[in-house]
Amino acid sequence: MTKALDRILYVEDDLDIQTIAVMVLESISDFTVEACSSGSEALAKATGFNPDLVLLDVMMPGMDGPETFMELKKLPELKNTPVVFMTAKVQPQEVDGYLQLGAAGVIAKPFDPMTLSDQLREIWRKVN
Amino acid sequence: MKADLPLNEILRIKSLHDLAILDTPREQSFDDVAHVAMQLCDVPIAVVSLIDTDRQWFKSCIGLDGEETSRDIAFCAHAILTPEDVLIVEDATKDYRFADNELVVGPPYIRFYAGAPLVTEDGFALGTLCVVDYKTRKLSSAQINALRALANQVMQLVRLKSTSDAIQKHSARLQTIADSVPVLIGELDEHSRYIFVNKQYQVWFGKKAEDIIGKTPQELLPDNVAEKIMESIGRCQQGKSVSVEVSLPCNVELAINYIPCVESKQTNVYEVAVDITEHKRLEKIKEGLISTVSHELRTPLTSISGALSLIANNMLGALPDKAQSILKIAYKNSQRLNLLINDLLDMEKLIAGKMHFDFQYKSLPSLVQQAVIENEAYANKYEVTYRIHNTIGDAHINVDSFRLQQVLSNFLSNAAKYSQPKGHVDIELSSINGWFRVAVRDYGSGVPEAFKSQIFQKFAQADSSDTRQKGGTGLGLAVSKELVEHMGGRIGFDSELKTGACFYAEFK
Repeated sequence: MTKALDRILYVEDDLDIQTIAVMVLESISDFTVEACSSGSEALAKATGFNPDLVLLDVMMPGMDGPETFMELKKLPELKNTPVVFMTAKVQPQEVDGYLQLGAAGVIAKPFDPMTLSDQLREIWRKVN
Repeated sequence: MKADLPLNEILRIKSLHDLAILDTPREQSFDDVAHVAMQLCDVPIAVVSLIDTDRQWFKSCIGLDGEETSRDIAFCAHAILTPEDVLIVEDATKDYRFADNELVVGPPYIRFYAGAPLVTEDGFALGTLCVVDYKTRKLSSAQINALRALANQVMQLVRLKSTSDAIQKHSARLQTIADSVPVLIGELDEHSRYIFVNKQYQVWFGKKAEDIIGKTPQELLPDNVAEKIMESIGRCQQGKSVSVEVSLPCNVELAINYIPCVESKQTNVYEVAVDITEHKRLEKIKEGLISTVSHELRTPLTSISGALSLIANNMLGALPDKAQSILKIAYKNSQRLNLLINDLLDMEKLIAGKMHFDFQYKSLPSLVQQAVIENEAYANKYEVTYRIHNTIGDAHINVDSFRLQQVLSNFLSNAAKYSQPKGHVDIELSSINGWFRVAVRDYGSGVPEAFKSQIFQKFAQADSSDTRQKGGTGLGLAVSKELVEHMGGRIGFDSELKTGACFYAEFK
């Protein structure tokens, strides 16, 4: 039986969006969420937190989403951890680019807070 | 005596002046004809004379000095009165018209004159080819006929000269235009050698025109650029216009059109090149700006709509009813703003020709089924039911399925919005004259007559309050039309007020 999705490492530089998403994921679905505001913070926390899934913004100052993705995948503990991009850049060729990079899924911004958890569970179910 | 004026004098003079032959230099070809006339008639003088308003002017004058005389004393002024006849004056001293003419009573003491009128195709006698003698004489009918034939030859020369002058003027005009535009305009022969270049080539290549003429692009450009250009020229020589963009080493980008030279029997091609460096630079800036703006707009919108959604769904505790309804309005409009951003981005990409289409053969009924499933939740909000009627089996069409879904979602959501509660929307799949049609029919208020012509225009909604009431962006149908046509299809609608509307897309 597949393990239920529980621990989510969430990387988002916009604190307002971060607040809403964390509230939804923790309050509605009882996920354990570790929120980070940058790619480097995510890399620093990833190994210790040991997430089931990474929810990752694309446009971020410094290390952007795809760069963070590549660095996370270099960590042995996160090699097989599914990464979901949540971004406003969702033109078809952009989405193709994330999937070709190895993303498990793409969620478009603005996202629907009421269905965010279900969307993540659906992606989790597919990759497992 | 002075000759009368021809009845058509005003038009005759205009015709003469239009030919622009008066006061032009002497030409061997005219002199040759005059010589032949002189020999043929065995006379010492032959003249090609043109009768101007107040003078007779000689285009050719053999055996006599001078370039012109007064029209008053011109024998030829009499000859042009009867364009169809050769005027013969065997003894001028015995002809009342010329007996007191100063050219008869004084030098050169003309006695004999024969003038064959020079007649245009419109029947205007412009002057004559005439022969003159100091003694009386007669011409045989063969000589008269030959003189008339030579006069016709003179008119051929006049026409040829006029056409040639017009071509030279036209050519000079084109050269001036070609040299003054900021575009490279050239012509290459069947061996891809330049046979014409405008001034811009000299500016671009830093060479004189004569150093470019006769050379091929391979001799003038770097190998990688020349290779691309030669390949395009080759295709153009097969008879097709070809467009190509090349980057030159000096960071310059050119858009070049090769056009088959239909006037030439050889496979010559015209080359028209425009500097698009600045255009490309601006395009990149614009693309970056649009991408940034869309991201920057969506980021705050994510917070706004997310926060509103949480509150409206009582995730932070129950709200009073009035607050709840106001919050739902705010949430609904934040969603509308997001749709508007998406539609604007799509429209911009379509207009710029930058939208990527991933064409694949797909089952049309499956695509329709999928669109219906995805829009059912939306239709439920309006208590509307979708019903599919398929008469085409499992027909396949070559489209971008994501973009077709976008079109169908637009049709389906519009139909639900404009339907009566508890109503239904019929989705009909049919085949009409070789086209597969998906038609979405609602039974709502229909499209007002006055609005029909604008329905596919941007920001078009029949009632200005519709955008607010129905939650549309006013761009959906305009985007759908562009998408369908970019996929090789057709879009249209039928509607009668009060009985509903039927929007359809057709594909082969």
